[in-house]
Amino acid sequence: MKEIPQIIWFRLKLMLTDKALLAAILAAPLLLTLLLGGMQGYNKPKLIPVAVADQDKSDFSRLVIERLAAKEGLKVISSDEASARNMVQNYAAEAAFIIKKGFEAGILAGNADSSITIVKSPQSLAYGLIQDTLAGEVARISANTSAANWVSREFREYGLSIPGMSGDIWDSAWKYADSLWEPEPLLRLEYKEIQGSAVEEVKPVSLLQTVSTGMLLVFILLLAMFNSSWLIEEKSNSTLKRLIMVPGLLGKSFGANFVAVFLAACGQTALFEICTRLLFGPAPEPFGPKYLVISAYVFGAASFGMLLSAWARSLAQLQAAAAPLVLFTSFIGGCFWGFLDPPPLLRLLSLFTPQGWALHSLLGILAGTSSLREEMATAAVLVSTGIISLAVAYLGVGRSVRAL
Amino acid sequence: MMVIWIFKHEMKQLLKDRVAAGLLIALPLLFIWLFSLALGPHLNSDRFASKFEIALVDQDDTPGSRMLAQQFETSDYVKGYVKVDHTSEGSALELLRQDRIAGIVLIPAGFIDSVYAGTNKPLTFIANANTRAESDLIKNELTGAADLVSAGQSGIITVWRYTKWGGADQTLADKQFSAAVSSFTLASLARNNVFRLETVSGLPDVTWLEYFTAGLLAVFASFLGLRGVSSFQAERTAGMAQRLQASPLRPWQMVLGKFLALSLLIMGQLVLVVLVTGVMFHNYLGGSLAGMAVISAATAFAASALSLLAASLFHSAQAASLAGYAGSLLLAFAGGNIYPLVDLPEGVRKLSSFVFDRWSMDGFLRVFAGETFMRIAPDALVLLSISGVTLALAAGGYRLTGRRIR
Repeated sequence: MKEIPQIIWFRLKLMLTDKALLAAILAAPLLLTLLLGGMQGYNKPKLIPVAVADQDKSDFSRLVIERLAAKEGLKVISSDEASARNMVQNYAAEAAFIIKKGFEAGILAGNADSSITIVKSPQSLAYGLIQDTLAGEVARISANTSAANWVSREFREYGLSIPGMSGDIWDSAWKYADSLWEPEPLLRLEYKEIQGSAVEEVKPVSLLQTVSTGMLLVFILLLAMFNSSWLIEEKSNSTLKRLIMVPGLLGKSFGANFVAVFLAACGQTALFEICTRLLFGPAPEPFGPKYLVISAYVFGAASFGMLLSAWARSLAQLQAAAAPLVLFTSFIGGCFWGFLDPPPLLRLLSLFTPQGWALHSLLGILAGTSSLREEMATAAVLVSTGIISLAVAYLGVGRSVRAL
Repeated sequence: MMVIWIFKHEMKQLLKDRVAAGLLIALPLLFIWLFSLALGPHLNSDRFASKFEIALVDQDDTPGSRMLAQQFETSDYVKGYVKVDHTSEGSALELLRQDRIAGIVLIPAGFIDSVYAGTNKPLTFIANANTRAESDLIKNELTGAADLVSAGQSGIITVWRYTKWGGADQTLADKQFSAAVSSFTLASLARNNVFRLETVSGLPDVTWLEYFTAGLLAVFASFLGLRGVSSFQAERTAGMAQRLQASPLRPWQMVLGKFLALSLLIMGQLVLVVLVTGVMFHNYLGGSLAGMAVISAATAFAASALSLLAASLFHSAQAASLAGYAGSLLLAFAGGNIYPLVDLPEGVRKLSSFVFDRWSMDGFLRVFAGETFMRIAPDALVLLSISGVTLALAAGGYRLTGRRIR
């Protein structure tokens, strides 16, 4: 039995000699995590950003912006027109409100039509509600001004006057109209708040956590696929043919090499985990369930690698098939879009991939919504499909070696 | 002559595995369809707001209150965003407790009459504290709507009181009051005249399938380019590279021969995928044919130059292949070919200017958007520049590794 540890050690040493491969396998998922983890627009913010460009810079425009900024749920960002447009175009703001020069003059003259440009994206949903909010504020100033204009004109036309009143009638009427808003507007909104009780306790899973989990799954499978190439090399250089001469040695070699691939994938996982924790901080997920699922996935990945290598006739064929296959199944499994809500068809398809099972379970663990029973079920699915793959691979190898 | 010989040899090698060659056409189609299915809805979604429901309890139930509710529900920006359930107060509260709605708008009995009379029964909004963002929006909306009524009423009251305080007789006061009611009511109704609406988009005007076809063409060009990497590595492992060092063949001839063969193959793949997606997904192909040819050629040059660079940098076939695929994936994400550039961090957006995938996607998007050759040509020029630099680096790398082999 001592040959098994020897083969494992020999295979691991061979794997470790390819420094470029090791660097690539570690750097690529980290870089992808960094890249995708920085994406915006996947976690809805609590405040809706609204850009405001004040080109009028008048008392009225300042007042309107000040009142809009005081509204709950909005984050008003002051900028110039170009930046405001750019923010909407680049999805950094829900909408932009550009208060054109002449806004105050327009209100004073009783015609402020088209003096505020709303810039929105085709995807913007909330712009109209924000527009109505702003319309209320503009209406207040406009009504005050219209009333003051009306009173001023009426007094002039009909020779009216208020006994003992000093000062400008326009100012007086404006202030009076505005005073009707205090201490509260004429039409009030009674506001109450109730907390819905059916909220499930879900820990928020960050984009970074979701992405790094997906990337880890992709690259575990990729490395397992590439590291299983020993099977093709030993098939083509007749090593396996020589092994079959000694009873039981093919099985031992196959098993030992499988263990080496499994250990290499475990090492890769550990390294990736260390690096992500160093780079992005400690992850608060429960240790046990997570590594139960990952270990089962690594077992499955190493088995699928053996199966593919048993099927491939040449190294070139393995290299041509492995990466597209991994990327394809990883995509279906959700590794590149785990943070989105997928359509039902894709959710169903993801369950036909090991990545889909593992990712679903790992994200459940991160969110605290997964039970031990579910985690055990995922591990069982991954291990059992791994065992079947391994058995098929072994039988295939035995048959092809005997046929040589 | 040497270059032509290398070219012919490479073409033979690359086309040998027909199954793999077939997959390089079939896989892009499958991926384009899958990407549209998974990521398409995201492209068309709001980054800050989500659709939600509210309940409306109309205890007034008059033509006026029904018209008010209908006006809100049927406005362009509410349709498809806020779903309004008309229900009783009890049912609405139950819905809220089950977290199925963001809040309840309650129009009290006698509301419309009270507004006409100026006594103003308050509107009530019961917010769901669990959906703060949505309930805040509705609260602001209702406050805005209530402010319109308050604004109209404050104007009318001001006119009425000043007319009376100014000493006008009853006839003039009544006349002014009637005129003010109609004027301020009309002003409230025309509240949105102050706004002018403009729509801008960071995404091009194409379908999702066209979008992902344009994005994934560069990715699959890179994947096919990796077959060129395998060819390099195969020569290394077979010792052919060393034998070629002894021949009069110069490194640049070697690189150019491989480059041309690979470019031609990639170009063939691109054109085939574009044509097949045109038929299968109804992607628009009525634009500039010259533009499509130029952008396909430039993409093919860039992808094959990149694969030659990868081949010259890595020594083992496994490392080169794995790094190639990982690198292709990385470039695709950095170039905005998978997720739109607008969603990526600012730094990545800047970096994407140096990534060939970005310019390739940009060029193909212009093709699908039916733009003219002159609009597509700048993208092709950038791609050619990137190809030139990459090819020079690959030749340098090959020279270095050649020396090491010697």
